[in-house]
Amino acid sequence: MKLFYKITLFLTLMTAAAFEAPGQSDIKPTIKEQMQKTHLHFDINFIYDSSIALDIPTDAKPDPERQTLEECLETLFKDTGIVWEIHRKYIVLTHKDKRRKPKDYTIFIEEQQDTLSESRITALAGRNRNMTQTGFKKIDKKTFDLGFAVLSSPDVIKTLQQLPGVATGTELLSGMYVRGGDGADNLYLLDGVPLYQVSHLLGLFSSFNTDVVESLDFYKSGFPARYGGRLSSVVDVKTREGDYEDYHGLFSIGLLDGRLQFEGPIIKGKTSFNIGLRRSWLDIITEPVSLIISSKDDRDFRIKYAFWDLNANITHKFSEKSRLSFDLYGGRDAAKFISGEGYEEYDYGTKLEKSYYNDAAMGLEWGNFVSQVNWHYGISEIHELSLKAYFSRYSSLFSFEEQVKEGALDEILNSTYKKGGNRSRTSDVGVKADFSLRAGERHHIRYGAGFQYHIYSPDYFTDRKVSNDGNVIVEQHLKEYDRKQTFEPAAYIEDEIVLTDRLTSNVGLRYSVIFTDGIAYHCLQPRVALRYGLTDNTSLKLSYSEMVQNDHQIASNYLQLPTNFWMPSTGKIAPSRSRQVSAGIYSSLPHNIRFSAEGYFKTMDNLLEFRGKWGIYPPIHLWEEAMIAGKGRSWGLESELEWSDEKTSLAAYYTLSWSQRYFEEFYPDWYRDRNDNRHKLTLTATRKLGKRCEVYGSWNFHSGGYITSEALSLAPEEIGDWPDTFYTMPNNLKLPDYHRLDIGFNFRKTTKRGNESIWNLSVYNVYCQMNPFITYIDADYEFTKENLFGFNFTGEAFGIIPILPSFSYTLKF
Amino acid sequence: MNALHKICLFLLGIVSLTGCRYSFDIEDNGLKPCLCIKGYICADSLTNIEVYKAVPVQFAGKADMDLVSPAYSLKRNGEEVEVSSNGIDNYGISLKSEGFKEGDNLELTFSADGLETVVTSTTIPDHFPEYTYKMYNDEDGNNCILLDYKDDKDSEDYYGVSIETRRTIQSHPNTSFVIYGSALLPYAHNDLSLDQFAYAPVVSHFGNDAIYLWADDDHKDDTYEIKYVMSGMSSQTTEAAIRLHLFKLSKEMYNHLYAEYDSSYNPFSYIGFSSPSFAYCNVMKGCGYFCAYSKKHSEWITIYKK
Repeated sequence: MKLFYKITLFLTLMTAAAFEAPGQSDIKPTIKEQMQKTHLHFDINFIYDSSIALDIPTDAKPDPERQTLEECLETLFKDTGIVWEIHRKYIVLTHKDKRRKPKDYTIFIEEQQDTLSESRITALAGRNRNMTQTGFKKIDKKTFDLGFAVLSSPDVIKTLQQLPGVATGTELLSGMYVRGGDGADNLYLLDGVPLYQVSHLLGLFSSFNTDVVESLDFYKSGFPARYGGRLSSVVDVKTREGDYEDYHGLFSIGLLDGRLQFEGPIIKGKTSFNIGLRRSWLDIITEPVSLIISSKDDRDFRIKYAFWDLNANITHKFSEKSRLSFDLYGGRDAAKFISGEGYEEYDYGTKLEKSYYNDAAMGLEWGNFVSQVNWHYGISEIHELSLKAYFSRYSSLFSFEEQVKEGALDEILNSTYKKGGNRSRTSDVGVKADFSLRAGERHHIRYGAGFQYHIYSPDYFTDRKVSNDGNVIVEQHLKEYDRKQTFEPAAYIEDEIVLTDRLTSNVGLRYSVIFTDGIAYHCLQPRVALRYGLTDNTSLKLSYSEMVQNDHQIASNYLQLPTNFWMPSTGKIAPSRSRQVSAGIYSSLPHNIRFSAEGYFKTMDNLLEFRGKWGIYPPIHLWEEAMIAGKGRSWGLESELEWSDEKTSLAAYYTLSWSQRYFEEFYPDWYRDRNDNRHKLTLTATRKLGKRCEVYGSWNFHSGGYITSEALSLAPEEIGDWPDTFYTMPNNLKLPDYHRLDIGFNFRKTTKRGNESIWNLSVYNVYCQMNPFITYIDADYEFTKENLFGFNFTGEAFGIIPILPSFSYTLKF
Repeated sequence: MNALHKICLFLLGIVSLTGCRYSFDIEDNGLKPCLCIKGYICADSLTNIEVYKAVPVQFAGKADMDLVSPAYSLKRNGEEVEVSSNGIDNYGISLKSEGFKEGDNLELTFSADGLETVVTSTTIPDHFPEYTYKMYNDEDGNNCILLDYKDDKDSEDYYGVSIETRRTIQSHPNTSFVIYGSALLPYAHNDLSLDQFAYAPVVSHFGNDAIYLWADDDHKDDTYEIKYVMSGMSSQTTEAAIRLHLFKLSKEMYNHLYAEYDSSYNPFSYIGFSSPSFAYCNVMKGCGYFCAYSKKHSEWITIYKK
């Protein structure tokens, strides 16, 4: 903790110093200051590499009142060694000798919405440094376009899992436990609309199709006031509008899935569409394979699994100031397991006496549906409105069916039929209005309000029919449900303030009220972020934020199964709340090296754990009794070190963290969280080999998590007796460390028609490290001189993901 | 559910084809030898607390298990009480004391050379409140008792009931004998795995008896339904009776017994896929349990007479 105190103290002192910084009006203006003048007059933005020195005093005095933009730029950059180029509203600056341009303008366009000072003059390469918020990461389309990912399909969640501060939990399960969170506390937004479940195939793929993703804003702390509803992180995914001028798209076929994306104008220059579709074809493989396997046995057995998702967007531009869009997202996973088994009894081996047949099936389904209408309107040059109305639904289904028949000589005598399952739906209907006002040079105010109507409706049903000698003797139809509705109006205001040349802040307040079960929870959530520019290349930041979560995932286990359902806060279950302080240093060093280190301390109240009557799914009518509330806290230090040039990029992400829980019903003191991974290290490298080939590698390591095990023993009473074993505290047994290497290759080619085609080869878990999926303590008995009681206890781990090679072929047209 | 279990087994089989099992070192898991307390404190009864040395399981049977230079203090409402001690089997020490009443707060501190000092505490609850009961049979023929009791609304209360049985058997025309036992839970009582309507009480074990557990939070109407099966009934049974043992439990006792229940029925517990509700321990820096209860019983209730 000492380190955090030091950082906090340092930041406080620097902040105080900044307020006392003397004015610089008597000094020659710098190039940057002159650029700012130009920016304000012409409403243009500059994009440049951070290595360009702009804080040099200059005698050049562009006169925007009398000169054109080109003349101003010529005056300003004459004899400076800086070359400028105009791209619509953006001026790209490069070194005269290098002529290397910043790579991606779209990032900057997004960025200007987040930080006022940087919208005026920004450095592309230092975007994380220049943001006021701590714990922020922007990932743009280009990162996904590289196409390196698990099973050759780029993935949003897998990309985020590599970042510091994000624990991944159990192998394969695609958890995202951010800074000690519980995995159900991440706010996933698809174009501003919350999604409750974001994984396909138990998490191997996420619900976000990267073909239509424009960019992603990921917050771990320093949450702006416009976000609310979850405790630990915000994953704000924005999809792309279609091209207004040309038709193009891509087609991709991989080992497990296929993708199709197509975009273009409906009315040239006015209306565009963008459609992305994915579908897995595991069912094409699994069904015949299971039939072949079962044909060798006496029973039929079939497994079917498939997922699909669809993103569609239509946008119409009424004018430069007014834009209307309609977005649709639908995604579904469906798995079915069918089994049939029969046998016959013969009298003296010849005459058929009796026959039995047993049919069983189990089905799992889950998915999201989102539709929304957005209207973006520029009220004035400095005032914008974004109006949104949406509907979002997450639904899941677990079902089983069983029929047992007993007959003689083809005549059914007795039969038992049972069918049941649970179905859950969580629906949101909402409207919200977000305003953006650039009030003068020093304020960028965002304010808005929204209203959400949530409907939670899990239900459970069972039918039972028993027949004897053809007569129905039992017929039951039972249904249990718990329908809840909540209303959640919310309003926020935040101001991005340029306090001094070096000090900026984002101060905000969010207020929401949750009407549930006849009561109202009023939630005030203050948010403050400060950034102090220590030098042009180094910033210090500090933030404090409070978040409230009204939706609770009700699960009887940690497996992300569709048997889980969501319920709201009630009179008995209060909303969860987190408070987080975060501070760090962010620097762009010479030679394109970027470094950041950020510390945090976070507390969480009203976290829920299941302690109910055991079943495959939580009891719907008893769910409030089945959940108990506790606390969490976490702290740690995260650092990022990145280097890149034109061909190579290297990154190292390291996390040192602690995560704890306090549930009095389990232990009367704080204990480790199961994802208390002390160290996490991710190393990634990308290298272009010529114009057509790229290679990628990523090594992931984290300290093992924890499980709860009877890891302490008394002396056995007698030789050969099983000793009394005890738990010390929850999560007392450390699991083996996790590590894995993934590599990938892209081979690009231009087809005869001028389209780009990409062959991707990826290998997941190159050295076949069998990381544990299931772990437990096992014992065997071996009587020796050294071990007179005979028992040997060992840790046993079961890994299920070996080396996984995969490929995909993508054609862009 | 036979076929469903087969499906699950088949799926696990498929997973196991791609997976592999291996051992890992549990010696480096940070666990170290500690003190283990086993203490159930009953109001108005002789108290017997057992203390042992516990070691990480990989050293079971291999480590020195003696408690060296043990020292202890037991406080009632902040004041030390007299405790006698003696060695018991399995390298343990037994601490005895008596005279504890309802409402007493007990705190035990125990130390031994080479082991961290442990501190644990509990409060003896008051007696089971006034109650009435109603007996009937449900549609499946199970014996049922509906307890109606007066819960204190201002406090968190935890309850338990166990059912003692007594059967009189006429083995010969002039010879009869009496068998005492405990009632069994109805068949398939834990069918909750798929059937949410199944009768599935929280039933743990206390000594050799099954004990039905509940917290007042779970039953707002201050009633509790018990279903049970009288075992061993035959044509030779001439009389059958039951007696209810009614427990009021400390929070620690309730959590401890609930963990025992959870441990028996939670299919995800040993592989790390569930909340740690199966592992309660209230001995700081050690292991075991130190908890209290008060108990009373009903009169014998005859449920069958030939």
